[in-house]
Amino acid sequence: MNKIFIILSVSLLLLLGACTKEISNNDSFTVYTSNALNDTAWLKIIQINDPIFALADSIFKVDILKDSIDFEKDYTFSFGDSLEVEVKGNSLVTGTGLFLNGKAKIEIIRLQRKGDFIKVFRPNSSYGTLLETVGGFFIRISKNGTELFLAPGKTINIKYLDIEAPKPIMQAYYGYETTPLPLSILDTANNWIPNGDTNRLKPWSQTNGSIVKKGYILESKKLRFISAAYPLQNSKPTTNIYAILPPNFTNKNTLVFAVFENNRTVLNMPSDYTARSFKVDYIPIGSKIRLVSISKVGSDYYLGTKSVNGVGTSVNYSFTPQKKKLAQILEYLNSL
Amino acid sequence: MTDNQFDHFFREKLKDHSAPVPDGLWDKIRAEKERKPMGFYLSKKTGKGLFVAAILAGASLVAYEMNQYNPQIKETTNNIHSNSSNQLSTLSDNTSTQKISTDKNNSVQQNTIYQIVYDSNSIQQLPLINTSTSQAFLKPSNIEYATESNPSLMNDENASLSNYTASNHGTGYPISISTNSSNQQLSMVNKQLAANAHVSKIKSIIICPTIRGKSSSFNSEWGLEVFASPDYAFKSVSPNTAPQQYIDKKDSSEQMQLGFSAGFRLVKPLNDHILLKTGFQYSQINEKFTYRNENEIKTTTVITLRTIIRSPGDTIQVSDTSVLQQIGYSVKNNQNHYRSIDIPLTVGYQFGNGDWNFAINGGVIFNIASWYQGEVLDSSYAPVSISKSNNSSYKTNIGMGLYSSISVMKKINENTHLFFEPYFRYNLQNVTTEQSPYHQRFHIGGLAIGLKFNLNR
Repeated sequence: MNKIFIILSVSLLLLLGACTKEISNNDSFTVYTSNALNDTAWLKIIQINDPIFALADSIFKVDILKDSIDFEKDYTFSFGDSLEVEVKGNSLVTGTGLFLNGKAKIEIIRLQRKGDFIKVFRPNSSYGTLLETVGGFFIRISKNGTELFLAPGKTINIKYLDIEAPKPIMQAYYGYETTPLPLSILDTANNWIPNGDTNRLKPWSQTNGSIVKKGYILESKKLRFISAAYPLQNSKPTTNIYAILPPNFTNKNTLVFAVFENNRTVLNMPSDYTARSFKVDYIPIGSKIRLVSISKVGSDYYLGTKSVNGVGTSVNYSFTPQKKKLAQILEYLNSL
Repeated sequence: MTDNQFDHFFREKLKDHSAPVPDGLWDKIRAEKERKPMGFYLSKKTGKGLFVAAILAGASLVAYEMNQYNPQIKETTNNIHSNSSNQLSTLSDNTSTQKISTDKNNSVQQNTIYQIVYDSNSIQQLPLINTSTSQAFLKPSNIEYATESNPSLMNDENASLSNYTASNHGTGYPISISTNSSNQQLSMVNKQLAANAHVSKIKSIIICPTIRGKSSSFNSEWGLEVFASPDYAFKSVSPNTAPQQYIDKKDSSEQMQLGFSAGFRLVKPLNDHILLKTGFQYSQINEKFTYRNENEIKTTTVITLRTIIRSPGDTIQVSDTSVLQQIGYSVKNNQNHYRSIDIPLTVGYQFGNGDWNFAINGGVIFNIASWYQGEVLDSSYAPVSISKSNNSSYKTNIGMGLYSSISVMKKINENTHLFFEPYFRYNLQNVTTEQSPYHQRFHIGGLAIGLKFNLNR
């Protein structure tokens, strides 16, 4: 009889096993280990193969004006009615000081809006001093791939119309580069260096019928990055500000900028590894700024913005980037 | 005289006694032996064999029942004893020869006529007419007789010896009885007859089959089986309009699991071996549907604590709540159920010894209704729900199936058997409609476990 009960018990267990429980909603989630979105680690030192380098290259979508010049003749090139570039004859030499004959290729990138400085990753500060920049240029002249320079004492005159009324306090700044274009657009050590004299930029105007357009005459002693700017004079105290993003956005894949609303100033916010955030110093309290983050996670782009009406009551600003198409991000940058 | 002495006397007297058996019994036994092996073996003369087997089985059952002490058997024994006593009542002092004649149906000693010879010291019983081939002799012995059942016979123990010539009972042989022991002899005869009746109560009784015993012709009993079964379904899928790639994907996303059936069956034995069964059962096939959803984003709210420096010497802790996104794949598990209500109709052949019975069954299962619930992959390999109402791919009736099983039954008590019945159900139709992009069919194997109740007791 005991055997019967054992057999019966085992059979009942089998039968109960047949009454399988509902296993709906018993979903399991497994993270892709190699997917960039799941990489939430921060780096103390950014490497050249980290995503932000690809991100900088991706947003480096600017118009490059190209033409050719004769080494021995004076030439003035007009690009539309808002830009004229005058290059004197026999003003170009090689890196070793040699004058060349024939023709050379000239490439000009015009930086007019705040978004342009973001796209070329040239924030507006000089040794930590905030600059208001009313225009900038990247001018590169080369012959057969060899980049040329202005001969000592020679200048290149850039006349351009500005989108705002000219300010008489502007002066020339030259770009300091550690990884010059076209090697990489992302030069985290870039800087703007004052011209070294106290000369202000002369105004320039164009009359088209009854319409008068005004701008600047930028007489530059150097090629490559040139800008017209002046240091923001501020008597207010300054503070550090932090941009805090979700863990998916790290210093490996995200660039953050502080865009001043009332000035033509864009600042890069380098990463603060300790605080796992992005930080910039010397922001005048009460400044009205907009924080802009651009991220590239895998093949996806993210754009994050945060408007700050007055810096000072709070110094840490959290916002969540949203996935965007690259064209949308560029369009946004062009609107700044 | 004690009871032991009395028993010893008869044991000594009857130990070599043999009784005739009915004509043809040995032939029947031999036929039974030639039916080996038992079980599924059927000789060429199947009908005769079954008939003989049925008789033997009936006889065995009766013999078995005789061994069981129950009121019915006791009543029969009392009748036998009564007949013997009635016969004894014909004896008188003037009767020197007696014919012990009992009902032919009662005892194997029925046709034996004994001559009992009395003398002063011994008693001899010699056979006068023996219609059987065997003979029995009561050897002389000096025994004191004492019985409580017939004390009157003991009162004449000291009577003088006299010779009586009894009017013959047809044989003409005289019976000589010494007068001084006649009462003892009568008492002994009475004891012997009582012993005969006692022997017949124990063994050596052939009981003719009763109406119930003629079970090979018809059995009026009904039974009820209540069962439940763990099932495992064997699924076969083939493409209809779907590409083989879809079939492969579907096959990899579905995994059969244990299902179950439960129901009841009415059992009608046509005879001791042939059983008809029909009833009602519910079956459920369980299937695990597993779907891997790639590139799924999982969001988790996280709270981070940071130390930030507002200015040199001004450090604060900042708590921030944000959302962490993770990408991966999720495995979605769902349980698909394929349910059906069916009516089985089976015929079985049963054999066994009553305690353990075995049967093989075969028949058909008629589907009454079927419905399905769960998820399947659609043509784009995305999971789509199917339900009883939202379903065009699965039939609501899958028609007829074939059924076969083997039963093992253990008797629990007179009315109840526990049975185990491994079975296999072969469905003749697909569960899918013609419009379905694939053909799908289930065959089910299971182990029905249940109780069988005798409804006639």
